[in-house]
Parts: sequence; C-alpha cells; structure tokens
Amino acid sequence: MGLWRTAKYRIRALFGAERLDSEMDGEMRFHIEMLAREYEADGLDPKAAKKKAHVDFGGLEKMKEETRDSWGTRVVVDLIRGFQFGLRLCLRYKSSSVLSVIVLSIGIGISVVIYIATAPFLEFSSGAEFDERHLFLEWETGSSNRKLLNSHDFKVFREEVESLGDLIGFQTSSGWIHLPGERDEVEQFNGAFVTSNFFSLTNITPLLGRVFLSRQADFEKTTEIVISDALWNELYSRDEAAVGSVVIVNDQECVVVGVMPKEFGFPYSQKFWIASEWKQFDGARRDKIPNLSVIGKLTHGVSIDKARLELNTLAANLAVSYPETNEQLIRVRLSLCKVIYGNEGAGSILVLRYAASILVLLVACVNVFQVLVSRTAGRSHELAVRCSLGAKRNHIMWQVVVDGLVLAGLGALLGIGLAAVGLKVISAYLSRFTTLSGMFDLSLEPRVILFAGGAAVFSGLVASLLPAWRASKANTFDVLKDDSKSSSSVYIGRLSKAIVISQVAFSSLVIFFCLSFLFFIRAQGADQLELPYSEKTVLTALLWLGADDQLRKGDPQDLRQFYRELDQRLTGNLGVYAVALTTSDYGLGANGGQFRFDDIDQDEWRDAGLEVVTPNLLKVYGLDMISGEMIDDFDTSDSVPVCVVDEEFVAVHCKGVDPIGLRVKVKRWQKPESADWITIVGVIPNLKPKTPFPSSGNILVPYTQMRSWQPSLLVGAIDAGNSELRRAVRESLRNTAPSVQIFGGVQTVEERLGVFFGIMESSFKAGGVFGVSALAVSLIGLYSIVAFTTAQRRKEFGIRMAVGADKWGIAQTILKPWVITTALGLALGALLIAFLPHLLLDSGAGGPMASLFDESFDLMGLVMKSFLLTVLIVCFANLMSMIAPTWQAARVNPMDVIRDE
Amino acid sequence: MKKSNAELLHGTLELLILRLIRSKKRHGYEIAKQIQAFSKDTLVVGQGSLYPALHRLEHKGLIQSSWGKSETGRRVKFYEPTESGAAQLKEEVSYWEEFSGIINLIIREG
Repeated sequence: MGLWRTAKYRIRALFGAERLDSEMDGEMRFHIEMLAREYEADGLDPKAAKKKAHVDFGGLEKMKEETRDSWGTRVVVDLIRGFQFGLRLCLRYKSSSVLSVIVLSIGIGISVVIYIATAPFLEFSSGAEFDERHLFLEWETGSSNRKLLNSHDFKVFREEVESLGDLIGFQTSSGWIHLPGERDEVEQFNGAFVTSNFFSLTNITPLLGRVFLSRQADFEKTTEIVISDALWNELYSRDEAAVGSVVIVNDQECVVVGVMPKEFGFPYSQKFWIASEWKQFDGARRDKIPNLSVIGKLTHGVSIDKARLELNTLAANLAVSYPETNEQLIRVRLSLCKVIYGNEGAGSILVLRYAASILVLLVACVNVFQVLVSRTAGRSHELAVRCSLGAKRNHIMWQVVVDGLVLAGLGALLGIGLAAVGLKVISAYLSRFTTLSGMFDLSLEPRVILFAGGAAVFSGLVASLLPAWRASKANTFDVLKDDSKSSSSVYIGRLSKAIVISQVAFSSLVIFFCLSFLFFIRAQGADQLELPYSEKTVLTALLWLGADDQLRKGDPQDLRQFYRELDQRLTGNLGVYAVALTTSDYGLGANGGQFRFDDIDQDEWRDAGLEVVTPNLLKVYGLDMISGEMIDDFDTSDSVPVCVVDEEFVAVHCKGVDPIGLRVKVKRWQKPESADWITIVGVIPNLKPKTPFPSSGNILVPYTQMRSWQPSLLVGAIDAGNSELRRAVRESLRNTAPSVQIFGGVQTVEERLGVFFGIMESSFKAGGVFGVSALAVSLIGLYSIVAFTTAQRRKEFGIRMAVGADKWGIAQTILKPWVITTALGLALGALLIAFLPHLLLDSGAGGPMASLFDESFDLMGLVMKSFLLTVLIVCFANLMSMIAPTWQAARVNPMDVIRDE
Repeated sequence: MKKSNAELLHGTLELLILRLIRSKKRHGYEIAKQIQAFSKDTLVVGQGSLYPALHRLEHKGLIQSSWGKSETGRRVKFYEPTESGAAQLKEEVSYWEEFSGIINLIIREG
C-alpha cells in the first residue's frame, strides 16, 4: 500500500503540478499575510510590516522549490524541463536545428533500413524449437556427405527404437498447386511431406484450424495438408473458409486442415506440409523409395551414446535383412538439430549489422557535433552567467547534452519516416527484378522503434558529450570579461578543422567510387551486351534436379529419360524448335573450371569455363558449328569421352593449333580431375556476351558424361516471350518430373538481362544516393562552422568596412582559411584515391586487380576521368556551402554593427 | 534561548506537527505559531522546514489537508491527522518519552 500511495502521490504531483503549485502559493502567501498582520499589530506601518514579513519568511520561490523537492518528482520534472529547454533552443537556432535534424534523420533512417534488411537473415529460425535432446539421424558416410534414411528404414527405426521418442520424418518437395477448376493458375511452391507428429517440433499454434492429429487412420481416405500464411494469402486471399476446402497438389486432392502463421516455415521456408506415411512406396524396391530427414528426441535419462548404440544395432539387423541396399549402412550418425538447422552466419551478420549502423550514425554525429560546437560556443556568455548564478558543472553539461538528444529525437522521428518511404521505394523498384523485394517490408514493430530510439540516444550523446564537457570546463571569468570571439575560439579549434578535412576526404572517396562505377558501366558499353543470337528467341528456367528423388541418384539413364521426355513434350509446339539443358546459368554465366592438355604443357592447369550440355544446344541458338562435330545422343557414359570448345578457347589456348583431336582432362572447383582424357571433337561459336573481363573460353561436355544438379533449361522458339509457351514449359516440367523445382521463374534471355542491368542500375542509384548523402552531410558541417565563425566576427567586419575594407576583402578574409582546410581535405582524399591506380594497373608489383581486366580496357582513362570530376564536384560544392555566410558577412552595415554592442 | 535550535528541531518537527494537529485542524501559520508559543519562543520553525515537512507527512499519508476559511476569512489549507497519523503519533510519543527518559537518566546519574 505504501508503494501505491507513493506512486499515486508522485503521479498527482507530476500531472497536477500546476494545481499543487497554486495551492502552495496560496498557502505561503497567507502565511506572509499573517506575519505582516502580526508586525502591524506590533506597531509597524503596513508597508514596513509587509516587507519584514517577506524578509522573515524568506524567498517565496526558494521555499516553493524546497517544498517541491519533497514531492519526489524532481528528477522527472528536471528531465521534462530539460527537454522543453532543448526544444526552445531548437526554435531559437532554427537553421542549424533543421540541418542537424536532416543529417540525423538520414543517418538514423539508413541505420533502420540496414536493421530491417538484415533481419530476415538473422531470424532464419523457421519456427522449430530445438534443445540439446533433439537429434538428426542419418547414415554415417565417413565424410561430410549426407546420406538420409529411406522411408522403409525410417519406419523400422520408428517401430523399434526406445532411446528416442516418436521419430519425426519429412521429405522436402515442391508441389504444383492450384484450386479445383483453376488448373491454368497452377504455381509451384516448396513444401514437405511429413509424418503426423511433425508439428510437435514447435510451440507455434495454427492461425486457423489445426495441425495433423493421429497416425495413419485419417490418411486412408483423404490427404491432409497444412498450408502457410503466404499460401493462404495467395490461394484464398486469407478467407477463413480455406480450412476444410480442397486444394490440388501435383494433381492430387488434399484437404486443408490448418494454416500456420508466417513465423513457421520449417525446415526451409516451406509453404505447405502434407501428412504422409509414404504408403504408396510399400513393397517398392528399397533403392527406389524416397529418402527422409529424420529427427528424434532423446528419452529422459538416456545418453546420446546409448541411443547411438541402439540405432547401430538396428542398422546391423537391417544390413542382414537387406544386404543389397543396407550392407554398407551399419552406423547411424547423430547430430544436434540446433547445429544442423541453426543460423551459422548469424553472428557475422549481427556484427555487420551493428558495425554498419554505427558507422553510418557516426558520420551523422560528426556533423551534428560541429553544429553543437558552434551553438554551444555561441551560448558561452549565457552559460558563464548560469555558472556564476550557481549552476553546477553537470547542469551545464546536461543543457548541452539535452540539446543533442532533442535534435537526435527529432531526427529519429523523421528518420523512421524516411526509412518507411525509402523501403517502399526500394521494394517497389526491386520487385521489378527479383522476389527479394519482400524482405524490405517495414512494419513499425516495437523493436524497430526501440532500435531507432537507441540510435537517437547514441547519436545525441556522441554528438553532444564533448561539446558539453568543453562548455563545462570553460573559465567563467575569462568568458564574462572577454569578448565573444576569443571565448568562442576555445571551441572552434583543431578538432573542428580536422573533422572538416576528414569529411571532405571521405565524401571525395565515395563520389570517386560512384563515378568510377558509372563510367565503368556506361562508357565501356557493359550495359549493352552483344549476343551472337537474338535474346528474344530463347526462353530459360533454372532447375533443381536434386529435388527429385530419382534424378538425385545421378543415374545418367534417368537424366536422359528426363531430357528426352521434356524435349518430346515441347519441341514442335507453339513454335519451339529446340530444347537443351546447360549448366551455364540461363546460358549467360560461366562455370569456373580448369583443364590440362594431354600433349601440350601437360602439367600446366589452365583456367577455362566448364559446361555440361545436351546435344541440341546450338539449335536453340540457331547457330552452326565452326568446325568438327557437335556432341550428340550417341555420346553416352559408355562411349569415349568427348567435348566441344568455343572460339574463345581456341584463340586463348590453341594459337596456331587445330584443337580437334586434342585431349584434355578437366576439373571443377574443389572436385578431382576427370578420370579419363576427353577428346575435343568440335568448335562452336562463342555463346557468351562480350564483357570487359578477360575470358579463357569454354569446354562443353555431354550431360550423360558428367553429373549436374542445377542445369538451366533453354527453349528455342520463334516467340519465346509468349505466355502460352511459358505455361507450356511449366506444364511439361510438371508432367515430366513434378518434384523438380524451378528457380527464378520462366523468362527469356532478354528479360534475364533486363533483371541483371536493373540490379546494376539500382546498385548504381543506391551508390549515387549514398555519395550525394555523404557530400550533403559534409557540406552541412562545413556550412555550420563557417556560418558560426562568420557571425562571431561580425563586429570586426563592420569595423573593417568602416575603415575602408571592401566586400571582396572581407570575403577573402572569411574564405581563405576554409578554402585551405577544404583543400587539405581534398588532398587527403586524392592521396587515398591515388593508391587505387597503383593497385589496379601494376599487377607485377602485387596488384592483383589488373588481371581482372582485359588488356584493351582503358582503366587508367576511367580512373583519371573519375578523379577529375570528383575534384570539380567537391570543390564546387564546398565553395557553394561557404558562399551564403560569406555573402551575409560582406553585406554587413558597419553602422548597425558598431551601434549594436 | 532565543533562536531556534535547528538540530534539535530537525528530527522532531514531524512529531510536533502531528501533536499539534491532533486536537484541532490547523493551518501552516498556526502550527508555526503554536510551536513558538508552547516553546516560549525557544523554537522558531523556519518556513523552509515547515512546509516541506507538511508535504512529506501528507505524502506518507499521516496527515490530510482540506481547504477552509481562516480567522481572517481567507481561504487556507488546514491539516489534520489521518488514522495512521494518529497511530504514528502515539508510537512516536511513546518512543520519545522512553528516549528522553533514558537521556535524562544518563545526564543525572552519569
């Protein structure tokens, strides 16, 4: 009760302070009145009695203050008064306040954007909750390679094992989903087939409906599906009637029983989960059934070693029962689910997030620091008077700090607004090119506001502590008796000039990089890549064959079957004249590899692109062989290994030598070299666009002779952009191998290039915005300092003009020291930039970057152009920032200044 | 002693206030005058001590205030003890009597 009474009293004192004050005033005035009456009664005249009463009572305001102290609200009241004072300061120094708020809002806004953009990477927990007892089961392979349990083995373990609780099994898969009667609207989504106890991995409850209930019995007649929040939105527009409705997945009817919230997507942002016991594989060959990810929870009191022993015993029994598939699988590997499904990169992303935010905030703080230094110096007399009236050092410091905090608070409010607008713009812009735009949705969650608040406090303190400390240290007598110029010179010293120099250097560096990037892209024609074929006639899709259980096993026969079936379904329809697969991303990228010749410099490994392709590749592009023969259907895993090379390869590696008949061994990154020598049988035209980067050419091997999981599908058609054709491609893939996943949609080469250049353009624009922001922030700091020092010397300029100085002379006096400071900043920036040509061009002296560029590329020219333009921009901008205060000072009326003391 | 013994008064002001308002509602001026009168001008309460003490007691819930008319007809705040104030007074008086008795004993016999 005591605490409650205290709280009630303090709240009353805080919010009813005015009334309490008024009561107190009445009370004390009555006391004084009574004292005066007493003295009147003693014989004093009324006036003298009143005066004596006041004197005897003591200072009324002092009494009130002491009484207010007893209310226990001093700290809060002082805080509130402090912030009110800060706001009044902002209004008093409007222009510098506006500039500071803008700078801080940019800094805090960018920090908020960084915070939000990194959040999805840090929050990748997918909703499952693991402790030390959750274990992932797989076969021990003796290496880091993974070998999952198949569904039959899983069922045996589930029935027999005692050291682990009810095992959970799941198989990730993609599904072609549509609502009944809307087959044309079919889309592919990532999902999983799961056991009914799958959702015991999380405490997250469904948004609607339920999760799966009991095992087996319910699945005899209907297949149950739980969908994600995103899928619910996509298919049902969040209609609650979704639960109980039917949805078609891979042509199978499923009943929706529940909707999971967006926080759950285990294991990897899945959009649906179908309850399954894999009954359709009962009786099937054990090497033809799906593999499952299996999770089990250690029973209480059981150690992981005991569990492993039990599982190995069961594995040994399976090896005896099924030697053809399980003979080598006699040991089970147990791993912590926390490690398997943890976010390993979270630590470094977290460091990056806060480091980037702090860096951006520091840049903003430096400018606000300059503003506060100027402002505090301008208040030096006022602060000296406060000191002389009894203000303590911490009071003086608090006044300056609160100034910074108020500016930072206003900056945070504006910064959140800027971040919201900026994120919407970025999201809308990126959505034209990529699905990543969804990660930039800003919602004002408490933690975003908390972050912005923290950023504001950090900025306010960093910007104000040093000026506050210096203000509290100033000698009161010197300040009061001296004029403002000499007192303020305490504040505007080497530190401020050093800050201006570093800001000019930093903004020069940023602008230099932005301009270099612009010239690199535009001047070298990299934004207009030339292709040897028409980009409108090739439709592309990136496939993940590993999602299909059969194709994942890597049997070349299965892959041939897949390609042939796809080819049959598509060729001849809707103007399609050829279908091919290639490991080059959309036919545009290059896969790194190395090779060595059989009889030319045998031990020398050389760089070249390495692609795995199907025979119809050239037909897709409408091109012919340069020489020799193209690989064909007869080149299988049983025949002599062959390959073809492109013109670039011949030009770089076979100067003056006919490549046909030469033999090579190849190897991909981190893989061993090919076992056999591969014979070059033909030369094809270059299929890759020309870039400023040097190329070593490409070696193309048949898809039946080298395994690949992630080929790109290329469809050559008269009108590749036709929407019917896109649908036909999806349909064909779905009918051929429904589990094969498509990444990045089905798009023409022209559209892919549009995305690529769109991203480059947006990167450039982002860089440009950053560069302009850096320059603007630097200019604001310079303007603040110049404006302050000029204002402080107003009287001096007035006297000079009165004795004959002209405006130009005054302007020179002002500009000269700051032009020198700016020039020093530019020199520092130039020094930093000067290292780059040395790095880029002098590869012999350890500059690796020169080797990245083709010999014909005029790198030096680009650097000089960028450098000169940077110097011009920085000089002009800095001069402009100094013009306004100089102009004002030069227009001073000497009479007004001399008259105004 | 003409002047107030500030150190003695400091620890006992709240007790004195509670005692004086026990029998009758009083305002601040009256409380100060009563202390001066009862102590035969020995103790003079400074206003800088009185009003903060009154507010502290009100904060603790030992006294409550109400507005009324003074003898001059002017509106003024009167103070009276609450139930817990009365109980506190009893306790403080008992403690004071015991304490002062011990001090007197030591002074006489020591």
